[in-house]
Amino acid sequence: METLSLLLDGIGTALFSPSLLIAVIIGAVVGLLVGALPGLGPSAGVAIMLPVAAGFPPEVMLAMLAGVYYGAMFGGAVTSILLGIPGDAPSIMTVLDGYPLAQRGEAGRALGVSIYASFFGGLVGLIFLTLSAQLIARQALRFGPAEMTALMAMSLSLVTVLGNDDRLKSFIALGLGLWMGCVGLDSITGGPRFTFGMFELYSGLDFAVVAVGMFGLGQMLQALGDAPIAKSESASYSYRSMMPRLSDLWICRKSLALGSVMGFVIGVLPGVGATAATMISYGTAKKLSDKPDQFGQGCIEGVAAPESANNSASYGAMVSLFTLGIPGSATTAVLFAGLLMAGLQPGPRLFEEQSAFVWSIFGSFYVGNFVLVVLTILLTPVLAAAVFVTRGVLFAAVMGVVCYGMYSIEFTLWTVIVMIGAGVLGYVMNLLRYPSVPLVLGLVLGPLLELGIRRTMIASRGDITVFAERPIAMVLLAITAAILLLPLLRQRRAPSVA
Amino acid sequence: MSYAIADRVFAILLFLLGLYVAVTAFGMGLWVRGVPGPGFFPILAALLMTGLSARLILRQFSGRALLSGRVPPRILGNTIGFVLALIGFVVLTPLLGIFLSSLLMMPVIGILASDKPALRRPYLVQLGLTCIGTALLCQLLFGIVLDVPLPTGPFGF
Repeated sequence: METLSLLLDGIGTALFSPSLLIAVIIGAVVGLLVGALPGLGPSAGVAIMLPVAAGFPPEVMLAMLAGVYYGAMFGGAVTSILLGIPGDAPSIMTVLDGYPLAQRGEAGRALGVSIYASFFGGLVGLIFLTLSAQLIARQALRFGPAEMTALMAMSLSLVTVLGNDDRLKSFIALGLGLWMGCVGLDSITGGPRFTFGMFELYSGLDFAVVAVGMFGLGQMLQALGDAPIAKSESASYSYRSMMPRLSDLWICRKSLALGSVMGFVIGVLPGVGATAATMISYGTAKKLSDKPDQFGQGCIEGVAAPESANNSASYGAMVSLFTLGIPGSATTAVLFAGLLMAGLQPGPRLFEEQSAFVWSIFGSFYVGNFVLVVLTILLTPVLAAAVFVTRGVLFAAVMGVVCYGMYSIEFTLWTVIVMIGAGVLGYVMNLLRYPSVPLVLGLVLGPLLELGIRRTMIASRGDITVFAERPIAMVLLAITAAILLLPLLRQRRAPSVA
Repeated sequence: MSYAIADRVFAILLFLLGLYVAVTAFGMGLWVRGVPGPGFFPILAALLMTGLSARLILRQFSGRALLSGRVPPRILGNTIGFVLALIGFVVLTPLLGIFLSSLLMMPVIGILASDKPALRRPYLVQLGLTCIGTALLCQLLFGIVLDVPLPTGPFGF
């Protein structure tokens, strides 16, 4: 009951505060465009929006940034269905059935189902987020430094192991991120580390600036190598054909439920993400369907499963961010940066100390999920046309805004220099198949992990067995060891099995 | 440039960076008065980088998991140009102000990033109008709405 009352207060705040409502709408519109535009994913969209949103109050800033994130999940489906062009990775699976449906004159039906599936998946994800967040946060409040340290170690290992096929490169990226997190004044002794005599480096590398560079600029540089999109005819549809049909919703009931639940669970896992959620949900929906042979040829359930999954996953990814202060994906890492810029430390204490803030943000998610249904229907023609906007014009305008925004963070060009450096590093890493998420998470969680280890050790006067005295910390460290060692053992066993 | 060569060069650079971090961290003190010192955590990061980069270099030289293909010279040139335009923005802003520097940077990016022939009159007009509109909008949003003290040039803006 307490959760419901807090949530209703939050929804009320989001609905009746004009600035919050406008932030949700702006974020949702930008997210829809980011989702529709190939070359820019949700993480790039949120990263690009970060310096602009940073000038506003914390609630407005986060509502806007989160709006970009979940808005992108809605937007990708439009171009996938109408043009067969997925705007971002989480909408790739929607092409498989959405585009064939559009080609046989059922574009409106496919669009309608994608919008309502997105709404339904988002709603289920939000309900799970609301129910689990406070519960996890309360449990996490019992965690001491030893448990939090073990938890961070586990999250870093999960992200590194699950995030990429090439684990060697994942761990190297993690090492680089951990080192970058050490740059600046030592948090215990106050001495400079790896600052090369530069005063600007004393406060360390600003995580938000690095995130904008790696995910925003890095993705844009990467997109320069993409082939231009051939102008193609959009499938025809009418607004009337997008209205919900009970028969379709009934047919898709299993896919909707499956996609929503699986999407959330997969979204919670660090390093897995919405794209994997859509693939797994699509595959499972196909397996459990009465007509699996129709999947891939214009089956409406094949639209419902991935669309509900990617929206639900986007809220699943926020669980660890809000409750434990641990971002599990690139996009939530940028949201984490947003919270830090607003002077808020994500984690269980946020629910205690900034309860009104957390619940008004959660309230804005519910409002945003509903607003997106209306906006997606209204903006479908714009989104279909946006794909063909010339990349040069788009990138020029985006970089103009990003440079102004970067300067505005600390009123210095140093932030722009760091952003350029991080962008080049992100581009090179993408090109050479090094995942950037372990690096970014190493950068953000590394200093916290170091502080946790050193504080715990100082408190125990150097007695390392302090971790063994805390059962939860021991379990978490054992899981971490298993995550790191099992793949190695499996690799060694593989040749003998063969 | 070939991906395989770039991959090797990057792995070697990471290995060297790891070595530098390890040596510097060692000098900072790994264990001070019975507890981890300032060099403790950096050396863990350095070991991760050095050890695994060395393994990666060995893997690459043994011919396993080598990346294939190469970055087309035109794309590489455009990417370098894109980055140089941004560096130019940083260099010019203290001299010309942020408004004029961004007005110089954006068209260069627009031409380099264009996925269609860029030097056509309609495109250049569209790009020019977009750049002017964006710069004016940014001046309004950051300079007036958000009250950011933006760097000004010789003309006072």
